[in-house]
Amino acid sequence: MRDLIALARACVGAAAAACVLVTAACDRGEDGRHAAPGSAAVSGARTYSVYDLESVWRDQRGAARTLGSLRGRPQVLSLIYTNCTSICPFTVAAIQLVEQQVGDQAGYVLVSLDPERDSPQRLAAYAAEHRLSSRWTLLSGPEGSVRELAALVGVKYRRVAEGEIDHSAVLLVLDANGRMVARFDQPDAVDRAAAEVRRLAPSTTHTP
Amino acid sequence: MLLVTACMVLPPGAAAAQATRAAGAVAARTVAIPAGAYRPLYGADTARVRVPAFRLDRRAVTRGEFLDFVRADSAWRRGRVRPVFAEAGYLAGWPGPLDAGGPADLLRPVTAVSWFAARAYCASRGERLPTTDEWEYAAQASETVRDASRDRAFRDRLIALYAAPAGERTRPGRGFRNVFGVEGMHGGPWEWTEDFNSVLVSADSREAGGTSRHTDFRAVCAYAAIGASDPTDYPAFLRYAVRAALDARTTIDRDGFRCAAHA
Repeated sequence: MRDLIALARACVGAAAAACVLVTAACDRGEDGRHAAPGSAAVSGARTYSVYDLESVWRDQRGAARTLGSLRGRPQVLSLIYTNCTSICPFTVAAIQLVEQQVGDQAGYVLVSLDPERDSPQRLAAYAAEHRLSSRWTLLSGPEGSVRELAALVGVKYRRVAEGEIDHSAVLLVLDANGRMVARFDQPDAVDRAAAEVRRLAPSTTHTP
Repeated sequence: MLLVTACMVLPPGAAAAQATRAAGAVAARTVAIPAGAYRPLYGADTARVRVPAFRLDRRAVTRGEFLDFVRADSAWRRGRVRPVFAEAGYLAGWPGPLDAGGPADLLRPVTAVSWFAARAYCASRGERLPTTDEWEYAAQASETVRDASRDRAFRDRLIALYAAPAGERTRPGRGFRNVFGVEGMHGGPWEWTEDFNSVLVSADSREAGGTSRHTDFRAVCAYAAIGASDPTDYPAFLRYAVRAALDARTTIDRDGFRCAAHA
């Protein structure tokens, strides 16, 4: 009891991280945490496929898509929204830099955090504005499906004032079967994400 | 909605009777929470957030209730649940996939359920998980007042309630019944919310509550406290810290849930 109060006070002072670790992380399930060195961990990420989520999305061409339709090659994925002027352009630029390095060895996916405004038409316009190649898939889906995907891959977000959405800016690397092999926080992600893709697809010809 | 569905398959009189019975059961199990406003620990400019009226389960979902759910839906049984939806610790405290323990165990709040499983349970009732705003708003009530969050004695009680081991926190009836009629929000297990992943507290808590405009401040270790609306609200810090440490598959033996519905 006294320890917990001390812990809570420590949390207020500086060490909220200790709070998080002590109160919850030590209770974690046995399948543990796996992630590439230096990236943020998501529990048991290699034991399941993101593509097991059965949600249905629309891509920038208006086609109905499951996440499973991305199967077949590694994907570099991030969650953004098109009205975001702060971090999202950097995220998209970072993924484009990964694309410059590994080209066809991966697909590139942007999932909208703002399905109300990000219609397929809006996603298509965004793809054009940012000169995204045909290797990119931009997805918009129901609010509950966005929450589900974000919650699974450890992306936090909330709506704040004036239509902005605070969110974690991360790059995820999925293998060909949708298992999350790496999750990188900005801004040092580009080279490491590219390295992950190369590791996953060592034999594929590189076409930048 | 319920009435419309029933009308399609039953004669009008029977449908009305069934709808009345169902509505009665929901009324007994849930309480109406009136609209109001509260100040989240992390929010835009520490502004008060309006919470529309909603209904909330009087008590956390029990093992017995969850057992009925997995009996009816084999996809959520331990051993059958898909790995994407729950860690290996899913329902780990149960003697068997269809055995939640003895009669006393059936009354305990169910724990070691993932967010996906909690959500599926509420959906099976035609309901949903409460939002973090709804949960926090209802939880700031004491036995006598709707907002006791600034009351030091109330905060101290919450810390004392949180400090118990998991076995104690899943004892039926622990905690108190607040002025809305909701029971055990602080004495029972931690509880899932629909948007538990809505606060940007990173593993080292340097991103708390900030927008990207505040990037420089994230380098400051105490930023989690700086970003908070009330740095002295220790119980709230604990709840937010726990939520921040979870992901959707997490199954821990002191995390349960209750369902909510529109008013």
